Amino acid sequence: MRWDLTRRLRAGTLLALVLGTGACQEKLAAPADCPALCPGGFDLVDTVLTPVPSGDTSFAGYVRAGSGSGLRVSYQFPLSEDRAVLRFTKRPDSLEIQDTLKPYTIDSVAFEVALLYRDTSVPSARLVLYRMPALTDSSVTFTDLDTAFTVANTVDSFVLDTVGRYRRVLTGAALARVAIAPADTGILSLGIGLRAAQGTGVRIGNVASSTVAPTFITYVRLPYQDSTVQRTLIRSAQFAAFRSQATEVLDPDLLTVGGVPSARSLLRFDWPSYLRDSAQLIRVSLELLPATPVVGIPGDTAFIVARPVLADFGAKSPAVTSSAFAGIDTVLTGQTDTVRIEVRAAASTWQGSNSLPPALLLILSPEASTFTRPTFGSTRTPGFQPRLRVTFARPFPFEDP
Amino acid sequence: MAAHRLVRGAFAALLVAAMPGLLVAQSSIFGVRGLGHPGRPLTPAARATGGSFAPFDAESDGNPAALGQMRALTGNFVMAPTWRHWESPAGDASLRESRFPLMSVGGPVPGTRVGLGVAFGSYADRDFRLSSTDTILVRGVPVGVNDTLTSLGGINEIRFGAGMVLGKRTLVGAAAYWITGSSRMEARRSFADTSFISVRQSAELSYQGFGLSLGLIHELRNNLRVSFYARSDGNVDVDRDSTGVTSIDLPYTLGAGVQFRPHRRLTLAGAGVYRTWSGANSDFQAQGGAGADNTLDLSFGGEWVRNTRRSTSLPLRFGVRYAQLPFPLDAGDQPHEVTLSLGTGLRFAQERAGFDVSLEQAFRSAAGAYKERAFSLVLGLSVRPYGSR
Repeated sequence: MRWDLTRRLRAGTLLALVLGTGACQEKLAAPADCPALCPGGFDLVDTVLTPVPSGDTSFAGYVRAGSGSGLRVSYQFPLSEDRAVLRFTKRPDSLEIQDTLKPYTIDSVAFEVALLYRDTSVPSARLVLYRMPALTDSSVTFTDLDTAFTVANTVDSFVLDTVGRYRRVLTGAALARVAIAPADTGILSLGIGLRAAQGTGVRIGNVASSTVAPTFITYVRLPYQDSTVQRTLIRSAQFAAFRSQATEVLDPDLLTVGGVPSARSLLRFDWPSYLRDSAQLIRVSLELLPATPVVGIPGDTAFIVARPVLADFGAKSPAVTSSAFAGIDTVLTGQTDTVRIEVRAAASTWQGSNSLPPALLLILSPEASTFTRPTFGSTRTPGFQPRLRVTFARPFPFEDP
Repeated sequence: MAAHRLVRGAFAALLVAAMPGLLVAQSSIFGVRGLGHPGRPLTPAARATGGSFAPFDAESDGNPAALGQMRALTGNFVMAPTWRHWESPAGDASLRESRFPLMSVGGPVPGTRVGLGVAFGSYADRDFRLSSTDTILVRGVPVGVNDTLTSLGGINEIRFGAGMVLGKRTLVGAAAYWITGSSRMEARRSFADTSFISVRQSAELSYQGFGLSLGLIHELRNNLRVSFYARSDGNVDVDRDSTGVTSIDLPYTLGAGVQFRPHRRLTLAGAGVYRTWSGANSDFQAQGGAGADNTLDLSFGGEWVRNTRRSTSLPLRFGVRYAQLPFPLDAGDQPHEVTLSLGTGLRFAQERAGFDVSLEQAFRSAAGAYKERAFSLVLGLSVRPYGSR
């Protein structure tokens, strides 16, 4: 009897442990008929804020021509007439082989230029390379370039087709067009112009982007012992810029982004305390209404980036550099629809006790590299004011039974 | 001697292990509203009789007068894994959880006729996770949403009680209750339109209150006892993340029971408990809740002893219980539950240790479409380090 009892006890204890352990795996989730059953409830609110009156302003002069990722070149383009210029790094006149400098013989020369965008509806677009004075620098003007763009100075020209990298090779007699005189100390400068059947513009790669940077390549031969060796001299642009015929002017009643030198717009908001302290932001959209159809090369795309600022110093407000807090949206040439930029992450920096100033800096991307130059209504433009549409959740009333 | 040390060690380990894990009793769909599903801080032995033995049980958190009949230092630890099936208009779900509704320590004061006890028990449970879907208008556009509301925790009570023998047939007792606990709550909403970021909010609701109770057990005849007790819990202050948000009236409790032994092997009991939860009705409704109703809890059960010389050796316990639940899901539609229970227990190691088990099947419903079936395995371990005297 005692043995039986002990066995039963052990069996019962084991069964209880097994069942108890199994039940420790909790499963609590169940479908519910809310809000009838659920206590509390979400309270979502949609509100619209406008910038502080006259607290939205555009400033120009941030990025200069040639400092961006692209270069503008155009031909009889109503929007802007532009010429590009490149000055390559110095090419040595001899190469060292086994501690001995030896002169070389040029076999051929190549130029590589990347086409970033063109209007494919315009036929016969040709990029023309011109020889420029070797020491061309930032003081060069549109007139200087235009004057130098003569037949006598033409180095090469080629038809533009699809977007991509173009490579032109000069050999034989054509090498004389790019011969570098001893007085130029190995420096070559080129101007870039555009010809087409009608007015248009293109964007070509600049040195800021390594994959599309213009390149000057020289293929040479050197005598070595009883034979010759071949070498390749690759030179990138030390100076790159473009010059525009007309100077862009900011309209003080509009918000402008882009252009050359680039313009940026600062928008300040009166951020209410209920959003600063306790609201959870669900979606915050900045709505910008184009004052005129967005100008640019037909079909071209640019991006507007909205960033919070670390401090409000007007034109010199430093923007938050982290992309995590940036809102971005595309703008298309000819666009008249509202541009909506999701800026929830940026607006979240306006919350809490150590919040940033409630302001957004609008920047065009690529900057100083595109013909796209949108202008939006400001608080001074009736019917076109920017809006910040905020959808947020109030604190959940957990205490409600 | 080695057995003594072993049992004492188990007793201490049980106390230490159970303290941080003390949670609340079984959950229920009917614990979503109000303060939650009322707890049952009873031993498996009392629960196996439907709760009818609770007014006479010194190890249950019921009538403090029962503490006067303690004959040995005793520790109890109760766990209750539960499997539930929930039916609602939004769908059905099979759920499970494991809770620890009671831990108690008590014993006689040497040389006196007084028994003291401390019990950590469940007062109300608020464990749930509700999921729902809906389509709402956001910025004037219909957007699908998925909501989840989670609550983990509830309200516990810590009872400090004393019972005393008066004369040969009467026990009296009193207890003070510290009502405390917290619910960790979280609400999530995700949108079908991913341009809206998901909402996630959380808070901790904490509760504080105090209560008092008085009790009496009187033996009318050798085989007939009656029990009465009354309790007032005042009110409970509710804080949200350490900030006071509201105060809720807690009920007065009136309990009575009768225990009858018609045969030397058979003991029968009946009990009733009435709680004035309607005092909290206005508090809940003021916050937008569905309110609260008074509750009546009736139970009947018995114990059949197989061996009269060792009554603690695998007796058969049975019971049935009907109880109204205080917090309706919809105002005016008070839910109720019917519970059938069966159990047994065993003392061993010279009565120094033992376990009790109760199997319970509860059927809960309201007039609406909400129904719930719950099966609980209530396990209790008890330790008497110095044996029975």
